[in-house]
Amino acid sequence: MQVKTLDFVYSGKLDSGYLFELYQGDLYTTLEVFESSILELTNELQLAEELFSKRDLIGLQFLYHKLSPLLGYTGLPKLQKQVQQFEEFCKKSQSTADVSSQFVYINILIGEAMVVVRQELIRLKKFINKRA
Amino acid sequence: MKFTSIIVEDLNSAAVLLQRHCERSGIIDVLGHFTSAEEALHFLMANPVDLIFLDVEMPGKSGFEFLDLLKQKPMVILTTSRTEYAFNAFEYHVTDFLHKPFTYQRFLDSIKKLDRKVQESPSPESFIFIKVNGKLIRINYADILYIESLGDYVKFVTPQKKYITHNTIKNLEATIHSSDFVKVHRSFIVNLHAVEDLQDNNLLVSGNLIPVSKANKTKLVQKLKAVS
Repeated sequence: MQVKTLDFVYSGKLDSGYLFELYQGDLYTTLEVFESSILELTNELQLAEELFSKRDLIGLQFLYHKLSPLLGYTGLPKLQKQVQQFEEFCKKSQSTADVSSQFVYINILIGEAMVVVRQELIRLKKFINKRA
Repeated sequence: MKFTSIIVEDLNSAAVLLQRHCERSGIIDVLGHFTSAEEALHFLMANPVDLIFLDVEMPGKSGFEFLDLLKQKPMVILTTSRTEYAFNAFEYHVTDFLHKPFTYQRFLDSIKKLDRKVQESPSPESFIFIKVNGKLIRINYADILYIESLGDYVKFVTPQKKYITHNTIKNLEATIHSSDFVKVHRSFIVNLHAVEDLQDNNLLVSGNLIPVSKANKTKLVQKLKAVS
């Protein structure tokens, strides 16, 4: 069954217009992609820490490239752009030491965003269950 | 027109949304999702498709390295989060370039480009000439129900007539470039559009029971889903 509705109001921290364009109001797909994105973001951030400790700058660049669309999928296109900028910064840098403060900063931003997305997931599930 | 496709993408979230876009469109059948070029290559050896949605940066081989390894290149839509690949995309004659995440509307625009590309390209081979009693006879693919091996000869069965000619199933399998035909048994090639039903290891094609070998059954079931 498909729950298609405009009644669900996204958190003001997410770009609801962007989310509607992406999912066409299909909340089941939204839920599915949000769940998958959170799982992938968690795994990628863990891997990022490992790569950073191994001083693997190219690996980090590749990882943030892979990770950036996940923020778009969860309604955070501005943060996606910031991650892309960090990816570019990695590309221009010589070592992980050059990107360390930006690395910490971007991970804090992503971590905060993940809290918002997780809360949104709970609200979405409740909303869908109510409607089903 | 319907297109068969696969998704080659290491990001699950991207693949999920793309698959839903395809389902919603009603014209793209996704036969599989692969997270690496190697897995996709293996699948394509036995299952040709009309279209590949291809991520560029993946672990192992990149999307472009993957394209270099394809002998028969279907249409390709690149999906990436970088715009800098646009030039390579042009060089590889890809149909379109989708920047992740992309909206359903943008996806539909891409599908329209596919349709245009198909209409503009020379029509694919849609018939075969076979030699029967010293004459070359044209048979349209759409008219063939199935082809049966008779040793060094094969029998072409159409709704109106049967034609026997000197050839082999193996040779025809390589000659007929149409995704509508599938070898279901060492002695039979079947037109999927003529299949009435599949029960156990037999196909019913215009009242004729055609055996299906175990080795070919999985591929057949996938293909039957693709044309349904």
